[in-house]
Amino acid sequence: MSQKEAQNMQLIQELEIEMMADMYNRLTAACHKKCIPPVYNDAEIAKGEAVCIDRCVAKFLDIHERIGKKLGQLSMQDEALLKK
Amino acid sequence: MEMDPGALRNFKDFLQLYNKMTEICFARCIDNVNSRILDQNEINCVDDCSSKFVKFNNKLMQNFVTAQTNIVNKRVEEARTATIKK
Repeated sequence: MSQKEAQNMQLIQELEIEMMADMYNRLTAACHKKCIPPVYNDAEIAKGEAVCIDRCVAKFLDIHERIGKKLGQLSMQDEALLKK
Repeated sequence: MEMDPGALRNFKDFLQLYNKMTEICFARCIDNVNSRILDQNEINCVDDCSSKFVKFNNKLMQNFVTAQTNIVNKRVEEARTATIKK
């Protein structure tokens, strides 16, 4: 691999890490909104809240993956169209 | 492989849009956390949401480019007439 290609790979990997970090922040905000009611009687996480967090994360990541695949398909279609 | 900073910028913006889409479609399509798995309604909603978002973004970008071009042209014209008057 030439040096330029290696540098590019590194840049893309950095972008991916940045994207993951951003995704994590949005996940936190979304699941906090969904699972933690704004009435504080207690500092501990209740069982219902813990279950909610588990399911919320699962659903969010599933959606993230689906949309990722869909966008991948769309860009491949775009590329194919451009090549024609 | 992309080499110029423009393409990298585009890719970064694309990733940002991807995350935004995930956030928006999650907020709008998921109203219950009764299960870890997405049911068929939620899956359809997410599909529609993502397709619509992509099309929305395209249209928005077209409109933005047109409007912004007009604004810039107006500014250039005003600057030109301002210097002529001097």
